[in-house]
Amino acid sequence: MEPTTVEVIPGLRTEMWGYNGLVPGPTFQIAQGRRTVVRQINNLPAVHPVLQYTPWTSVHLHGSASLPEYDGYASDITNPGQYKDYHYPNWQPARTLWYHDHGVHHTAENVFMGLAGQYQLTDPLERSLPIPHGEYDVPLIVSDKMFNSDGSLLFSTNDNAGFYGDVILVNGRPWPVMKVKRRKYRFRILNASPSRSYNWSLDSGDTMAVIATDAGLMPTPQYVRSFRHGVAERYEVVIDFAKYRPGQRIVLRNASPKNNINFTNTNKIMAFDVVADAFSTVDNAVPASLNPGQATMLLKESDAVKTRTLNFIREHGQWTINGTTWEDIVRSGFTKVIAGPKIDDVEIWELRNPSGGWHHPAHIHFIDFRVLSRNGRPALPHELGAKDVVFLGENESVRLLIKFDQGRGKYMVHCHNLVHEDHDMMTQFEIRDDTTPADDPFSDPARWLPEGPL
Amino acid sequence: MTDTTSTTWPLATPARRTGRASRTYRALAASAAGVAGVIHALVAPEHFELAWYVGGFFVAVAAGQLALAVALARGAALRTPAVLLAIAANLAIVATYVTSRTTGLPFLPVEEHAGGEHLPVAGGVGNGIPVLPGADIEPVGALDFTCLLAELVLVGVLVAVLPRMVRGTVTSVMLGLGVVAFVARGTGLLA
Repeated sequence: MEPTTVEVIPGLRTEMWGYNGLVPGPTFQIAQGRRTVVRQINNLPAVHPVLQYTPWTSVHLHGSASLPEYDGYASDITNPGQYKDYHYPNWQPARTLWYHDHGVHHTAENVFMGLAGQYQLTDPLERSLPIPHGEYDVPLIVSDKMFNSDGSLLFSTNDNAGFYGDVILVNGRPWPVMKVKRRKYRFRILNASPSRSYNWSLDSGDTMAVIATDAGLMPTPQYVRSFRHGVAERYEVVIDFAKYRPGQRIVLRNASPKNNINFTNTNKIMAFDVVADAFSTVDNAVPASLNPGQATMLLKESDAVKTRTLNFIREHGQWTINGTTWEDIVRSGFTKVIAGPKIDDVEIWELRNPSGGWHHPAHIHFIDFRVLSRNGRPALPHELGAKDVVFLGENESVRLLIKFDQGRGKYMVHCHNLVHEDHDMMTQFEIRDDTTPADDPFSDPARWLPEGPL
Repeated sequence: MTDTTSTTWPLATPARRTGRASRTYRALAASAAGVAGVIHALVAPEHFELAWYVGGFFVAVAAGQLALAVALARGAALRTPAVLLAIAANLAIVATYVTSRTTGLPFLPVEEHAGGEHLPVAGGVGNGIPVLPGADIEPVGALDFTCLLAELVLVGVLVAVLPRMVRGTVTSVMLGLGVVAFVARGTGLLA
C-alpha cells in the first residue's frame, strides 16, 4: 500500500493510495484449491496529508472464508511501517471477491483514497461453462469520487450520511467508453463506492443476464432490464452486443435508488461502442442451468434451528446494530458478540431497517447466505444466488438463511456504507465449536519492517 | 458639549432621549443581555465536556452578560467606557460565534469535533480519527441563534444610546470591521 499520483481528470494530477501503487489494485486470478499468501506492506505516510489521521490498515478479502486473523478484523491493524502476511484458503466455489481496507475508524477514507481491488476465484465448473472467459470476462470496478479544482480529492461525509462523489469511475477512469465486438461479454461488476448504491440499466432497454452473485454462479441465469446494486455487492452480468449494429453506442445507466446524493452526471456509468471486428465464438452462451448444486441455495428454511433479528438503526447520533457499536466490542475486550451460532447450524437472520431516511448494505463476514424473502415477498430475481451482502432498503426487512460451517471464531457484521461502518454500525458474531478452539483475530499481528522471509 | 468620558446613561442628549425612551432602552438591553447570559449559562456544562477552557469561556460570558443585565435593570449609572467595553465584548462574542459556524475555531479540540471520543486502538500509532474539512464547523441551532439575536439587539441598543460623536465613531469602526471581514472571506483569507 503506497501513495501514487494518477490522472483521473484530464490534465490534473490526483494523489491517491493504491495496492502496489495501482488504483484500483491489481486483479488476482486464483484457481480454487490453490492457497495464497499476500504480504501487505503499509508504506503509506505517517499522517494523511489532508485528514491528519494515521492510516493504519486491515486488509479484508471480501467473500473469502479466511481464518479470523486473516479476515481484516477492523482492530487488527497494520500501522505505517508495518507489514502483515494474509493467508487465503481459496477452497470456496468460483466467485468474484474483492480486497479492500477495513481499518478501524477510517475505512471509508482509506477506500476513498483508492485501497480496493478485485480477486477472482475460478473452479472447474466455472471454467467448463460456455460463458464468456478471457478477454470477454471484464472486471468493472465502479466507484464515485469528488475533486477539488486542482484535481485533489474532496472529502465530505455529509454529516456521516456517506461519501458521495459527482464523478463516476469505472476501473479508475471517469465514464469510460469500451469498444465491444458483436458477441456476449461477461462483466464482473463490483460496487466499490464508499456509500453510493446504483440501479443499472441499458439505454437500449434490453435485458441483461445476471449469472453470478457475491458467492458465485447462480443456479440459473436471471434476465432483468434493471437491478439494484448496493455497496460491496458483486454481480456478474452478461450483455449480448450481437443484436447491435457496428457504430452503435450502448450506455450503462444508473437510476439511483433513493437517498443517495446525486449530481448531474451520476445517472450514467459508461458506454459501449459496438465495433465490427472479428471475434471468437467460443464461450459465447448463457446456459439455462449454471450451478444447480449451489450448496447455499439448496439450504431449506426447515433446516434452521434458530431465528435472530438484527435491527440496523440510528441511535443517539450513531449508526448501530441492535444498539451495539464497534466501540462496545472494543470496550468488552472483543468478547461481546451479537450472536453465537454453533458450527454447522443453520439459522435464519432477519435484518431490519426501520428507517425511511437511509438504506444499509449489510455484510456478514465469512459465511454465504441465501435471501429467503424481502418484506415478506420472494427475493428479487437478481438476488437468487448465494450472497454475502444484502441491500437493506428504506423500511425493508430481509430474511437470510445461513449455514455456519467450514470455520469457527469471531467475525464482523456491519453496514457496508463505509461511513456508517466507521460511525459505528459494526458488531461481531462468533461461530462456536465445542470441540475445536477458534483462532483469535489478533493471533497473527502485523510486524515492523524490515520484512521477514515470506 | 458632551463629556464623552463621564456621561452616564442616558448618554445621548436630552433632546433625543426622553425619560420613557431611556427606560425602554434599558429594559430592552437588560432583557437582551439576560437572554444571552442565560443561554450561555445553560450550555456551559456541555462545553466543559469538550474542554475546561471552552466551558470556562461560556461561564465567563454568561457571568458578564448577566451582570450587565442586572446593572441595566437596576438603573445603575453606566459610563461611556463601560458601555464601549460592553459593546466590544459582545461584538467579540458575536464574531466568535459567526466564526464557529462558518470557518471553525482552530483552537478547539480537534478529535472531539471529528467524531466523538473513541477508545484507544491497541497497537495503533498516532491518531486514527480523520479530521474532515469543515468538521469543526458547528451547526446553527435554535438556542444559539436566539442568543445571537439577543446579542445583536443588545449591541444595537448600547450603540444607540452612545453620545452622537462616539456613536459615529463606533458605527464607523463596526462598519470597517465588517468590510474587512467580508473582504477577507471573499479573498479566501477567512476560508
